[in-house]
Amino acid sequence: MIRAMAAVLLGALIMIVQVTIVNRLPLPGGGGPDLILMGVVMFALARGAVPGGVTGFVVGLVTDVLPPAAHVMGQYALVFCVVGFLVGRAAERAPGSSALTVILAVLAAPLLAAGVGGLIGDPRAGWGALLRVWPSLVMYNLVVAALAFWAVSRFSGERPRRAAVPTGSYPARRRV
Amino acid sequence: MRDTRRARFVLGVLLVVSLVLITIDHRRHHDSLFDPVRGAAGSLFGVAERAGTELVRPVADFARMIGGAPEAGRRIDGLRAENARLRRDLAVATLDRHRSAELSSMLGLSGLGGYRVVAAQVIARRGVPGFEDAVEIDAGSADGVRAEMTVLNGDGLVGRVVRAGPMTSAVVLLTDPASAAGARLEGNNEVGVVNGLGPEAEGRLIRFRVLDSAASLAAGRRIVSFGSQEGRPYVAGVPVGTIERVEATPGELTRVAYARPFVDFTALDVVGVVVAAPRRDPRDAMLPPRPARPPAPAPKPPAPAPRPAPVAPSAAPSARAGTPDGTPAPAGTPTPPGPDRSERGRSEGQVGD
Repeated sequence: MIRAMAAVLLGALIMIVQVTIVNRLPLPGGGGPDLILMGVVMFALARGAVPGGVTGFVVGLVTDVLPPAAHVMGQYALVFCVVGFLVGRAAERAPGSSALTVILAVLAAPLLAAGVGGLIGDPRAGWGALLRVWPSLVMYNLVVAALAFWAVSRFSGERPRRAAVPTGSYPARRRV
Repeated sequence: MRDTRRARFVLGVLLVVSLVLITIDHRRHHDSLFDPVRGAAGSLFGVAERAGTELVRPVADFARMIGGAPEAGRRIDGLRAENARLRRDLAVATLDRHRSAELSSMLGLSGLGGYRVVAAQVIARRGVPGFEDAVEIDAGSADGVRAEMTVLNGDGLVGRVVRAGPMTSAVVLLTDPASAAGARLEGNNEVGVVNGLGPEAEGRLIRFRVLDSAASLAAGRRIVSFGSQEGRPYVAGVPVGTIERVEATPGELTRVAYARPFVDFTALDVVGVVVAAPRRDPRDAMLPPRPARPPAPAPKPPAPAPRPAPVAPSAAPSARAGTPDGTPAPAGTPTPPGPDRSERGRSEGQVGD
């Protein structure tokens, strides 16, 4: 119960930090990190497909009403729901390759958002504009993801173990 | 297997729900069913965003101070030079205090656009992760702000209000690609449309499309807003930007230029919402004084020693500010106010850059 309330408060805090601080930083390249997307991706990685999809939907719905919003309601609910579900499913199927999953999700999420915007005729979601901002968006999000991974592995007290490989011919050391 | 099936079912339900939401909201975009929801969320998050901004502001100011240190050094030098020049001008001005008072009152009068403005602070921003350029300001319907009102700051046009909550309201910026504002070239009546270019321009350029293909566009000309009916959503006469380059579009019906906005959209802080438009269009009166022609090495005004030496008034600034009675100071006849006036006009032109 306490954990759930803490998670809700953390989500709200991330959204407010995103619109009050991160989006107002004049970062080079035109893009900026999307903390909300990274939060959904990390949650889905930890919890799996269904919680990831549901959380993505709820978070997206709140993002749609978060002021200042000038887009159609439900747009980000759709995007984050799909992203959360797919990331969670990938984490269930291939639990070892979470870094690859995050990279793919970060690459695909802006394209998905632009695609949904384009489907409903949003004039802001042109491909030319998107492709110019896309590299910097992906880069900033990957930096955030790397920081998150580092923080989790650093503070959870659990070093990433390298399993002993039965090599047969020579004794493999644990912890290279 | 059953788990996968359940997962697919959940995903399907969520997708259908979001598609239904999108459809409902898209079809009734102006009087949407979700306006109460948005209003409630606006009140709730508006308070939180306001508190967050208050917390963060000192840190942000400090970071900006550190980042702007090299430029601050340069500005201190510039200000020092300007200070010396102003002090000299002051000495000149004391000679003819009455004329100075008259001139400054006239300048003040012409500078007044006659708008009634509610001041507000930017408390949150939507940036690239949403493809829209919108900010939240801390003035709402309690302060008299309504939807479709013009927003400006000390430099020029900022955008328009799209939604006014009780305490906060959302403003779509001029750089948003979906926003379009009527605009007019300074001086003549070439009318066009200003569009934003979105995040890849980083708020540094906007597109100005002139409706007349034979219009004479040149870099350095300035744009003011054209105004809409009853001043909604844009009032007339607000400075928009300076044309930076003109695109060659042979054979097209419109001409396209890219302009640098007067407003620095990356560092918006205090803005004003126009709650009542002036009765008359202020035309070009609100434009800042034109910078001296070659901007970097400003031609030094002649040393103050030979005071009665007549200086031909430099073209633009003194034509606007220096000769209120329309008599260009005749070169060669050392009338006492002649050089005095042209000097002041020149300094007036350089304060702005």
